[in-house]
Amino acid sequence: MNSPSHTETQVLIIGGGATGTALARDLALRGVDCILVEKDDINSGASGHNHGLLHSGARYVASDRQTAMECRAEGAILKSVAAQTIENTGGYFVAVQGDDERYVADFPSLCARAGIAARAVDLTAARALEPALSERTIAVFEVPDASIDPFRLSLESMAHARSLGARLMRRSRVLGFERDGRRIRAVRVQCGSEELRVEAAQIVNAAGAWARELALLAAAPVEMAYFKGTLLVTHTRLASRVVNRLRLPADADILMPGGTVSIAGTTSTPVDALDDIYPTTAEVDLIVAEAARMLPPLETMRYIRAYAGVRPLVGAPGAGGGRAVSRGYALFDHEDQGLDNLATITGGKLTTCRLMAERAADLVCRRLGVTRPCLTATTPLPVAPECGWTEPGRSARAWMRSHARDDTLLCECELVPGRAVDAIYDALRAQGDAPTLTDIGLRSRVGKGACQGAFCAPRTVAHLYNRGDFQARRGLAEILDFFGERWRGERAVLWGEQLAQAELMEALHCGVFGEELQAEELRTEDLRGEVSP
Amino acid sequence: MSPAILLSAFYASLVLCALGLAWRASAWFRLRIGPDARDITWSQRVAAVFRGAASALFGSRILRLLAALLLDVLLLRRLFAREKLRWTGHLLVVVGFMLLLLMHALAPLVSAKLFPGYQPTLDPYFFLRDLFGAMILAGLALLLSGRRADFPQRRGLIDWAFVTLLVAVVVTGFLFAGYKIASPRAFYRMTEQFIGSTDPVKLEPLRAVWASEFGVAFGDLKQPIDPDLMEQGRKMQRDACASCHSKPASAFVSYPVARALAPVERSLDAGRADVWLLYLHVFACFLGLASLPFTRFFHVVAAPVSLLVDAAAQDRAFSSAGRVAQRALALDACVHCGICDSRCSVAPVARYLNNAYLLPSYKLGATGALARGRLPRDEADPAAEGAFLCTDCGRCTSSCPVGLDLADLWQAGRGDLAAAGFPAPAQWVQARSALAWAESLEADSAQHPLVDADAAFAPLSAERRTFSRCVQCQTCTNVCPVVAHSIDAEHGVDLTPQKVMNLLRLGLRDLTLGSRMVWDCASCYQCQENCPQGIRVADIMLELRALSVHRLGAVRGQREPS
Amino acid sequence: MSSARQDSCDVAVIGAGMAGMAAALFAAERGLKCIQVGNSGGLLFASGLLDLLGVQPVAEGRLWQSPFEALAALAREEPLHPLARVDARSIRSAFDSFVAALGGSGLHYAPLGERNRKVLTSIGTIKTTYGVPRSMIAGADLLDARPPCLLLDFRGLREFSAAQIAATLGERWPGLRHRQIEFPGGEALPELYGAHLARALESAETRARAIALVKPLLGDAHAVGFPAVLGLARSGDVHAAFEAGLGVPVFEIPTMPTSVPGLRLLRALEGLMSARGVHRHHQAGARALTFDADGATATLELEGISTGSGGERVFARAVVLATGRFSGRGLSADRAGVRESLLGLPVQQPASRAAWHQRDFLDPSGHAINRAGLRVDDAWRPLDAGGTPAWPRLHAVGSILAHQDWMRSKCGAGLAIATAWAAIDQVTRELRGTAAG
Repeated sequence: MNSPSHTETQVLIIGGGATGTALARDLALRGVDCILVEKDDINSGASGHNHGLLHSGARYVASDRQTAMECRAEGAILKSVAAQTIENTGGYFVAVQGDDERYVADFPSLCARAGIAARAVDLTAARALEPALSERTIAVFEVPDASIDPFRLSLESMAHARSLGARLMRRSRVLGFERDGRRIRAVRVQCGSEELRVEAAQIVNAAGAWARELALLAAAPVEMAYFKGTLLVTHTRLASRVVNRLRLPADADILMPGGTVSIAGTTSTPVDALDDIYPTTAEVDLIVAEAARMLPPLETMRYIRAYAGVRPLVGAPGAGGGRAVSRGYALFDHEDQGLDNLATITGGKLTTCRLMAERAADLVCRRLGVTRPCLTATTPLPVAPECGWTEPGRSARAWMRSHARDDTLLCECELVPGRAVDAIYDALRAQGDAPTLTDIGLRSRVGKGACQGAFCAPRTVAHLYNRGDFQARRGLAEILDFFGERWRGERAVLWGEQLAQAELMEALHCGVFGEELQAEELRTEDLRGEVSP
Repeated sequence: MSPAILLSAFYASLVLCALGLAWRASAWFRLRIGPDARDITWSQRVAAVFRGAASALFGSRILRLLAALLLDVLLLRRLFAREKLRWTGHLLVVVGFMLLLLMHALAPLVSAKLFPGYQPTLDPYFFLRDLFGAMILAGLALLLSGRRADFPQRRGLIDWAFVTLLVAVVVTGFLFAGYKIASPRAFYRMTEQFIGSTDPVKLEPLRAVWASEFGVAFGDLKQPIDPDLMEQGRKMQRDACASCHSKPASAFVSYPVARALAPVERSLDAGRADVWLLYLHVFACFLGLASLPFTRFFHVVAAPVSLLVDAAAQDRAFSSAGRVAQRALALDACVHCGICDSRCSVAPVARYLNNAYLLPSYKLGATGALARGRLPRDEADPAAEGAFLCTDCGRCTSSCPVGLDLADLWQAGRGDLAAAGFPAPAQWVQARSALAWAESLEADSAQHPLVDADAAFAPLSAERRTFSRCVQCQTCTNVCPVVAHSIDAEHGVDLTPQKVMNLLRLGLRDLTLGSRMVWDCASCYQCQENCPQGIRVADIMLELRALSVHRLGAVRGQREPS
Repeated sequence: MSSARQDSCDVAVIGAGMAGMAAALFAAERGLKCIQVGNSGGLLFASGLLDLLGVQPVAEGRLWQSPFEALAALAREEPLHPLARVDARSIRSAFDSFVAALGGSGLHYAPLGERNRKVLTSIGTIKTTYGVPRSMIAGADLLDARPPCLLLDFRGLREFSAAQIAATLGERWPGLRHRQIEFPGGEALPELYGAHLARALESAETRARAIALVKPLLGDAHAVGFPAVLGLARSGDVHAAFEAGLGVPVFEIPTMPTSVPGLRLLRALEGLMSARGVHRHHQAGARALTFDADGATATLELEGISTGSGGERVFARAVVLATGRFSGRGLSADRAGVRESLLGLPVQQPASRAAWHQRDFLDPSGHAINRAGLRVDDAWRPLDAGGTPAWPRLHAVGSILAHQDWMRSKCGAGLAIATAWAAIDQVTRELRGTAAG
């Protein structure tokens, strides 16, 4: 990478999730220079492993009213300023036979107290609109839930921030903080093979679940608990609306529409370490069994993958499996720990990321002496063309609208054209990065369809070689990494038809092409540095 | 009355019949069906027919013609293969009618010459006459039973009139025969002619026998009858009557009719029923003869001609003039049996769209009406829809017992419809891109994407299980001949079968409805036959096509969204 | 399919993949009356290469130059592996017979020997295999010497990039050049499909145009590599024409599905079935299999694969189950476990689903579920819950068998062909025995 070994900025943001990117945008809109450092890629933590639910807040009316109200307010703001990332699906809260009927009875008033519009729906009408609902449904309420694309949200926030001067450093890991009295002088960052020293007036730790480890590194510890949640992705979309279980929050309560699929989840299991997080078969079985009580077709549905993320929850771990701990966010100023220019923003929900960023930015700006107000609640998030490819179904329409002869579909499952891949690849190259297949997958629908990369990965790699972007054995290494990444999620849902699909994949890539035999060799080769001039 | 009147009436009907036949047959040379008929003159058709006939009759194919005459025309082997019950009914009617015609109507020319001592009242002829009449009625009953419930056969008033006439012929025949059996007037006429007396007292013994054993309803016989009298009467019977009269009990229909008429027999006699019943019967026959060419029963001429033409031509290799003539012939040769309708593969769609014109029998009618310029506007629209939703599966053609080349007729008919301003949906659909159509639907529809009002109609494409087995192998696309022959993006297909399946799986069905792939699909079924996961790709394409006509048709008049 | 039609035979083969086709072929060759049903899906993805045994043991990823030595090692290390239970002589005979039959159908293979061959693939890896189609052998021959060669691809054939193959082989084969050309007639098309190209190349005119495009690019190339699209039904002719026209050896490179060599194999085998008098119920699968009380006859009830309609019955004296694994639906898995689809035979499998797959897709030891399957006795009869054969003349062959991981061992064709041979041997003995007895 051609970056100097020393760099300066006003604010160094650590963590490129929903909060970090929103913060970069907020600061950039206030004219504050910032650099965002991310050890992996955008949304690699909880921001990239959640339901994608833009909460109306109704889920928390009984257990956490504060969060409920925040969600309601923030949901409305995001629907207004970031409409392109949201599908305003509406939502149902559904109780089935055996659920707590007192909760059902209390629900409308609880919602009203939190200012959330919840309307009772006639059971027959509900089942006509959502045929997948169980026949044993006893109550249905309609709420203003919506579906949000967290990837598009973060990518466009970051794109907007960069257009206003912010800088992004992907694959850059914080090694340590150089403390000098009550200030952190500089932050040492591993960036590829180089070590970089960043001097910043203010530092914000927005590393989500990794915030605790970072805070420790700065000798300013923060008490956090980790709860892992697993979600499942279905082969086809089952419901138009968000479908929530009408009860105190528990496992497998939610079925989200995710564009062309549905996402079922989630679970809550305490974990200590953040590495090696993957969905287990036990979690998958639990979700299927429990969610099927609300939506019986989930029992026999084909699932194409599962994924697991870690929720950072602030406060001591307690009883209740993580659900008792507040879902609220926490902003630490570390002043009582002897630091004047470090802040940690963590906890919270995807729905409240803008608010969290606003609070953090307010603190930072106060410390910097910047008086400009926050503009993110009213400034629309600009549509960035290279960020829109994550939207399910969009690439199909775009391709059908017009395509040049050479603009072929690289992903058939999701109809993703070559020009999407080109746009993403070129944008990342322009930022100085060496784009990987996984990067492309994150920014588009490539690999997210039924085949989970078995067919589209080879096509995309062939395309990149033909464009001259890939050299030597890079493509093979990328394919193996990509499959590995997809496999982490696919593994736990391999039964029925998806098992047949995975078997076909292995039959082709191992049985015919023998790719696994190259894996060891490729690991020892350094292919990351080989980027076309 | 006078035989002269009868004879004149007969000749008149014969002439009318002949004129009618000629007029109907002339349609085979006049009627233009299909765009390729535009440039063909009637004289070209006549020439083609003559050439064809000549080469058939005076060549080796004469044997094939004779075989066809025997097997197809007389024995109706195609019908036998398809519907045995209908074959039975048809054979009963035809054989009964022919034999009745020969033995009874043309008795002086046929029976009298062939069978010396023929008398209609003598067994077996007495029995046979009733048998043949009964066969006709039984056959008609079989043929008329078992009609389609939802879309009835197209039948005109004149057809019903003809059937009624035929039934009337047989029924009046039975009535007349029954009347004569029971008629004292007839008895006395006979005795005057052959015994020379009409004195009831003198003829008492004979009358006794004729009353008890021959069913005459004298009404003035002393009961009980003296056995000696009977014996005497039997002797007289043997001497004077037996050579011409068998006991009428063998006339198993007429005799019961005679018994039933017994109470009113004398009134009938008094009313000269021997005259007016005869006239009824005979004039019914004449009317039938005269009107035959003007009803669909003209098929008794047209169908054999069609079968023979088919046999004469090798593999339907007609000259273009010949083919055009043959289409018009086919319109007349259709026997309205409805077998084609029962085999039609898009019949369920007809029910859903409530459009009978998807069914072959209706299409045939519409094709003819269009060619004659007599297809009204409100019928033309559904007729066009029906014509273009036909999948050309060919089941109607292969199941037609008369061997009509329906596949060719449908093609020709579509050409005519297009020329008349009803282009194939493929044409107006392809005027816009698939995406533009999808956007029109979006603008039009308040439907939430997952609430599928058309699910019952397009069950395969609406059901998620249909696609859950797809492993994305692309076999369907690789074996598709339409994709193989796609020359360029503009004129070829815009989507491939795999892409269509994926769009459906993604819930983006509206993007497929206006696509060329859906309309250019040749329904060759290679995709479905080769799919390793047994997905019904071709069936889905056809479902989409029907759905597309339905939904795109609804928004067709609207302007394209900007 | 009309209902209530019945047919009887000596042996019913359920399955029309590699193992099912091989079994039906061998049965017909031995004079047995054979009826075949089932799906041929797997063959569509076949590369055309016939693997015997390439890797043993799987966990070490050790490649063998001699498949027979590998088989010997297999017999020592994994005696339960199906290939370890067929003697080498039978394996050779089976392969010879299979390949000869294909040759008779116009699909020629390079002579089989003692050694494995190495073949270049479209992903750029080098595959170890045993039986190589004649159309691919030139590439295998050159993989040792690695002289200058030209690799071609057609614009629009999306999964194949000659640049990729050349780049992946990199310094290992410096003389490898690559060019992309337009397919004659496909210049205006955005995307091309292998099967269409293959059929188009059967036209002399298209071939001539293609050759004319390639010839000026030859340079010092000792051979030319193409994606495997050189012909479909007449691939031998097309391949020969290319070689004649270009004046150098020409070799095909196996591709991603839809694999044209797989399609060729399928069509050739279908033709062989019909030529050998095997009555094949196309697009019909087995709905139910029952055995009569006295053990003499099995009744197979059929149904349409896509429509489910059916009712035809087949009566057989012996049955060969070659229904494959999960893609072929011979085995099916739900969250609770793996079942054998037709008869519910007990399936050897890991104790729980959590153990089915490794965490890492490329874990060298492979995934435990791939070794699940039917256990068979020495006569190839699957065992019921009590450990005895489910039926005296029911045999199981091919990838449905337990104790093997064909995808990692590179022994797919070997497994199919060898076990089919051994089972049909057994069936022949049984039927002759019962006939005589």
